[in-house]
This record gives sequence, structure tokens and C-alpha cells, in this order.
Amino acid sequence: MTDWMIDPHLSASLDAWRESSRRAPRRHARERAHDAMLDVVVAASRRGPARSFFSLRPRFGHAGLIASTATIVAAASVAAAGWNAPPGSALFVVRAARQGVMLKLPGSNDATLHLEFAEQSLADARERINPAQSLTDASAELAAAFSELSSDQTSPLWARYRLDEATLVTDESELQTESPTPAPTSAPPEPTEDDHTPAGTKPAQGGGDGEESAGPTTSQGSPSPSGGGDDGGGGGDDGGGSSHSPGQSPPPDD
Amino acid sequence: MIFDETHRGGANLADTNRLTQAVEAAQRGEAHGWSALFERFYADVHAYALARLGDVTAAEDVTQDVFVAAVTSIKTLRDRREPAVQAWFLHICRHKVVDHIRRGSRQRGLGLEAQPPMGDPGAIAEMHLEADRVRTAMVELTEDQRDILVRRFVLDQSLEDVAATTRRSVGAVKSMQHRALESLRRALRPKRAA
Repeated sequence: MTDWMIDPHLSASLDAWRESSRRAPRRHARERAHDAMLDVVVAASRRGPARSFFSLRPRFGHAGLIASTATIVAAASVAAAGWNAPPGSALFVVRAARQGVMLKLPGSNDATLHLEFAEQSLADARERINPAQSLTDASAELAAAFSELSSDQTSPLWARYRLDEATLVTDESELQTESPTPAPTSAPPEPTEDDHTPAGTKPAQGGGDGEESAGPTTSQGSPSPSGGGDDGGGGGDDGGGSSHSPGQSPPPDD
Repeated sequence: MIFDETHRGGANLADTNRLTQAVEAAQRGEAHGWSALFERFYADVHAYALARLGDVTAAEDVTQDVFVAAVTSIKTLRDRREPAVQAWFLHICRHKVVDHIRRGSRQRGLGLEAQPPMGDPGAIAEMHLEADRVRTAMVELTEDQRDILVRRFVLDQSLEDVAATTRRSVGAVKSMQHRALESLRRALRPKRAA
């Protein structure tokens, strides 16, 4: 079947090609192909339905299944054991990784998470699980939470933050009382009235000289959750307001 | 005869049902379904392979490979209408032909010993020689062009059938066929002149 518009020579060539290709297949080749096909059909039906990944190699299927199951169980065990591992333990990295992942999850409230982590560390310190390290962690988490808190200080998170900060200060004081060595997050050796921010935890500096504080400051004369009133509510000679930064420890009693 | 126009174009409802049942049986792994598909499509696949390879033995081997391979991939066949099933077999065949050529196992020769001559032996030999020149000239074409020429001029598929089974528009098939014929004509001309 060639188009009448095709070049006559080409048309003749195509006709020859067609006739040559339409030769009937040889009987024995046809029977051989039919038998080969049916052999595969029978073999496929003996094998049964499609095999799963682990049954592709039956000889190694069980070993692969056991190894995979063991790996999954081991990973789950490590994750479970390290979920709330105390600071200083070998599995603390799991806890740190878990916290890092939670912080990176889209839609997570970082301020809330940092407060939760700080509270966990405070709870560890209360239970005497590596208290010095736990308080250091709590201080760092509170500093991180501070940087994430909104400017609206009437927010419930601010109240929670102040409560945790007060707890931290209290615990650090207790730790200092019990131990002759200073706690890692203890206040600077010689704090002044104007500078109550401990070293290493200064997300915001309170202003001296009457400047407004960029950080969360307690208003002058208002009760300070961390100071507990010991610092007298600020009001130094320079006229600046007292400033409280996260992790702030109370000045040592004179 | 498989190339009979009335048989090809007049697939009535009973034929369609039989083919659908055969495909379903084959998908369940039942031998009778496969035998029915084999009877229906073996000649088409063999013609396609022979048109491309030009060697009877190689075409028979490739055709056998096609049906063996089809057993393992029949589950993927969703459309059970005749053109779709034929296209599916030819699709496998096309890949097997390309594999065969790549392996370099193509044997030169026209396979004249494959069948006893029916008619004038001289005329038959001349026909096979001319056919072999066409196959040689088709080296100048693209794989898609070769595929379309086989479907149109050996399997006698309509433009619409080719378009449907190769997922192209009729215009695209027409255009590709035109370019293929033009390339083939140019490739054959110097040989004729010589």
C-alpha cells in the first residue's frame, strides 16, 4: 500500500520491501516461540504473585529482613533512650539533636520551645542530674527564648519566662551555697548596681544613663522575678533604670 | 491472513470481547489467553522484525523474544483494545530490534533459504535485493521515521492508527512520513544511478 504521489521508483522499492517482509513465518520457528512463551507463562505462574523487595533473593531475604529489623529496633531504642537524656550522658546528643529538629520544624514557636527546653534543664537540675551543666543549659535556653519573645510584655510567655528566670536564679543560688566552686552561670564576680547581666548571657543590655533598654526590662519599682526585690528595684545614682536580662542572677548579698 | 484488510479493519464486538478476554486471561497467567494473543499478533510482530532486520532467522529470534518478554510485562497493559494491544507488542518489538542491532548480531543475507520460492525465482530474488536496499538506505533515517514507515508500508496501518499508537497527531505523523520518504528517496537515488 503505497501512496500514488510517491516517486514511482521509490514506490516500487517500498512494495518490494513490503512483500519481502510479509513472508509467512516458518512453522517450526513459530512453534518454538509459542513453546518458549508458554514455558515462561508456566514458570511465572509457579513463582506466584510478584515478590516483595525482601523476597527477590529468597536466599538472602531472611538475613536482609533480620538485619533491617535489627537496625530499625536499634535506632528506635537509641532515640527513645536519648529522648530526654540528662546532660553529660553519652546520649545527650540525641536530645540535643531532637531539640534542634523541633526548632527547625516549620511553624514551630521558637520562644515556647526554648522555654520548654529551659524548663527541662531546670527540672534536671532539681533532680540533681549534673546540676551545674543543667543550669548552664537552662540559662542558654532562656537567653535564646528571650531573643525570640515578642515585644508585648503582657504575653503569657513573658510571665512564663520570668518565672523560669526566677527559678534559675534560685537554683543557681542554692548551687552556689552548696558548692564552694561557682556555678557556671553565676553572676560576675563584682557586679555593680548598673550592670546585673551575667557574662555569656547578654542578649540585651540595659541602658545606663537613662537610656531605654532594648531588652526585657522590668519597670522601675515593679517586682523583679529574678531580683526578688533584693536589688531594690534599681535606681542607681546615675539615674538609669534597673535592667534585667535573661539569665540574670541576683547580685551577691553584701 | 493477518494482513487482510477486512480482518484488520472489521474488528467487531465479538472480536473485541475475545481479545479483551484473552488479555485478561493472559494477565492472570493462563496459557490459553497467551495462545490467543500469540495467534493474533505473531504475524504482525514477525513482519515488523523482518521489515527492520531483513533476516528471517534474526526476525524469528526477535519475535520469540518479544513474546517471552511480553509475559513478564503484561500486567502493565491497561488498554485492551486491539490497536492498543498491537501497539504494545510492536513497542516491545521495536526495542528488541534496536537491542538486536546494537548487539551487532545482525546477519547479512536475505534469508532466501527460509522459504521455498513461490513463483519466478529470479523475480523473487530481485524483490529481496530491492528490499534489502531499502533496509540499507533506512540507516539514514531516524528510529522514529523507520518505525513509522514499517507501520505505514508493511503493516498497512492508517495514519490515524499510527497517530493513536505513537501518541502523535495525524499531522505530525504525516509530516514525519513525508520527511522519511524524502530521506529514503535521496538515499536510494545514488544506488540506482550506480
